[in-house]
Amino acid sequence: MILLDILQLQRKQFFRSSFFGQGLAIKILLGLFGLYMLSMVLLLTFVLPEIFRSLAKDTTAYAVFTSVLLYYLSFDIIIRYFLQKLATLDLEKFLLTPLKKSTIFHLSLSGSIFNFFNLFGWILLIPFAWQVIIPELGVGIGMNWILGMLALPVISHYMAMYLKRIEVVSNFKGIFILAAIILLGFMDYMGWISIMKISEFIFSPLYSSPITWTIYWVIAVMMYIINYRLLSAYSHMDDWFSGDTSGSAIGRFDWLEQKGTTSAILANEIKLILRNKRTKTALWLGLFILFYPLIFYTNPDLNSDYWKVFIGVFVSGIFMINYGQFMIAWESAGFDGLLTRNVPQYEYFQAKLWILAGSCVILFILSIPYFFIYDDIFLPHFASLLYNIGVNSYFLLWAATYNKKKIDLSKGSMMNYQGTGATQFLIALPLLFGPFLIIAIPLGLGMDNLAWIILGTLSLISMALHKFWMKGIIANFNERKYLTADGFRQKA
Amino acid sequence: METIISLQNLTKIYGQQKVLDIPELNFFKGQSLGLVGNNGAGKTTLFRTILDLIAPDTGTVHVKGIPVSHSEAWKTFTGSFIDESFLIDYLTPQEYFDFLGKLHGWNKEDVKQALIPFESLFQGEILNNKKYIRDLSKGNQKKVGIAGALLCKPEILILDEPFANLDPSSQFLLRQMLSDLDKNTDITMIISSHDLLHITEFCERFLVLHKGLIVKDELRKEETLAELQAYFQAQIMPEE
Repeated sequence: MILLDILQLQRKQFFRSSFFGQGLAIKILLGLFGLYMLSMVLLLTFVLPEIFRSLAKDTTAYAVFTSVLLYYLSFDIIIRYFLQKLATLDLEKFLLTPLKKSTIFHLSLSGSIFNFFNLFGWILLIPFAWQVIIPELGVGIGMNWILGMLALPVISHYMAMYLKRIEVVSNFKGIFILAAIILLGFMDYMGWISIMKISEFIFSPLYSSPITWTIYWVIAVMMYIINYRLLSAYSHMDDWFSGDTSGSAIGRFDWLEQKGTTSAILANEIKLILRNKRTKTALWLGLFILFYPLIFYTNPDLNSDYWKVFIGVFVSGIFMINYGQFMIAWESAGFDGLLTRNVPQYEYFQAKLWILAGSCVILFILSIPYFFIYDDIFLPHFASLLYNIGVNSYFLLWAATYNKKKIDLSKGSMMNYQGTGATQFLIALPLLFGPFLIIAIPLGLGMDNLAWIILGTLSLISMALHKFWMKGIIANFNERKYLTADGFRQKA
Repeated sequence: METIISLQNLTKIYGQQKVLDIPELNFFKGQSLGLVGNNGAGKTTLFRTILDLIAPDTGTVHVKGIPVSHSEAWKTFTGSFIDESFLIDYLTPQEYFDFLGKLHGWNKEDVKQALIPFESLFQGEILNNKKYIRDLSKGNQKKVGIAGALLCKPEILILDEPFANLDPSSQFLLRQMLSDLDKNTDITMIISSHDLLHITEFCERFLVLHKGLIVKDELRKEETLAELQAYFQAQIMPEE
């Protein structure tokens, strides 16, 4: 049974993946994170019906649910697009076996259904039917609804997979569809169209006619076939690789390169960020975190002055914290070249500082709309920005000189802990909570504005000590450079 | 002859094993030196030590009388290529050369001029190509690295296995280039190779390294190639 053998291989691949080869501390941490997520989902399934009952003022809980289902689906597709892995490239080793190509593709496509995201969808949707639909509309319609709902994660799964695939093999950019989804969301927000109405139109037939669920499954199967067709059409492996590699050099930074050495190094660093998977993920995460204040500031419990600084540091500093920790390790692949070339060290670190500080300023500017929505957050956020630039950036550069683990830039995306040690988690703590120590006393005395002024002033003083910090960082770098270079030469 | 690089009392120990043990060694200005030795002889370790990438356990490396670990000045006149970690792989070759030029205060036009001698070596596959260095073949990556080392007219050139991975035509071209460079300029070359034929062609001095020790240090003569071949053949014979 060759199919069974392949399943065995998949199992081994899973359990022998680098994830399970991590250090014990990270394993425990990720395990706890997984448990937390799972328990949150389970909790949600109990709370969800209550939420929808409370939302339904003059209508029913399931009607409200139906009207927001399309939001969920769009969000689901976007998340999957960014987080879910495309399994195509794993197929290469099987293409040389005597198995039929069609068998391999079917295996790969159908196997991909069993993943965390789909499980999440099913766990979320099915208990809801049990608690809301069946008691209110009876078992018959309840079953119809459940059967229909089962198809939804499958549809969004194959939809996201298709977007990712088509992007690899053609010039089409799946990101445009995502942009379209976001645009529709915006139009809905402005009241130009009503996604709720559309959602009702699409999903309310589930209550009326008993076999509507088959329609959703027909769509799901069609999505499957479309994916299968695409795979068959591009069954030669180079179709998938060429798309990955032939991408022409993006971004021209002539204006930066014309200037001094610092700008040339800076331009290189920007290219590094834009041209590598791993760093691009950090960029996306930074933009994603921009929505954090929405979660925090709408919750009155978390709306205290302490949290304002925490969020301020987090929002403007997330890219810096994420990226800055590995500031030197990003260049691990070319580190020997860096050491033997005439790269002036002061300018080198200066350029890195510009990147870090620049990212803070950009994220701060992008978060300006919040200042109009929520009162009294401009000062704490601004003080946090100064703190990020004046204290955290130097701290990160200094900490980065201790990092000697190689990073493979092409292996991207979330949940990639390559190059990460326990130190990386420790580093994040003083960055985020350091300001608390500074503002604790004035805030405890109820003097908010004084707290912000102290935080800002101390940060400005730190900035004035620029040369002093730089000297320390460079001295540390030189002291450790043999160790660092040796570490980077080891295979990751 | 003027000494340009001098090593004194150099040792490097990994674990229990002495991988480098050189009491004294001088490199002379304008003299090209071929370094040979089987795998594990310590060639790359020697190169890395000269380039201040590895801190020796004892001893120092002086370039023009200044210890390499105390100054950055040698970097302005030293070109080197050991492996891919000397490249910046997310740049295109053109961007890489422009960046190297920039570090020497050159503008793009200067870089363009300096690249002309490499055109035949590149065979139209390197420049004006939008591919990133990481997506080039091993051979083309090597060409980029070698050109990068030679680009800014170095006084000292250090190349580790420059002929490996190159196609036959490119090997011939590179040998020609290095030979011309040796004849026409004052450059000091230190080049390692497993291909004895290539380096006996243009190197004036030969160093044979074996388990971290210098076992031969000779100037080129008529029978150098035969002697080297005899030496390496003796290595595979059972010990007498």
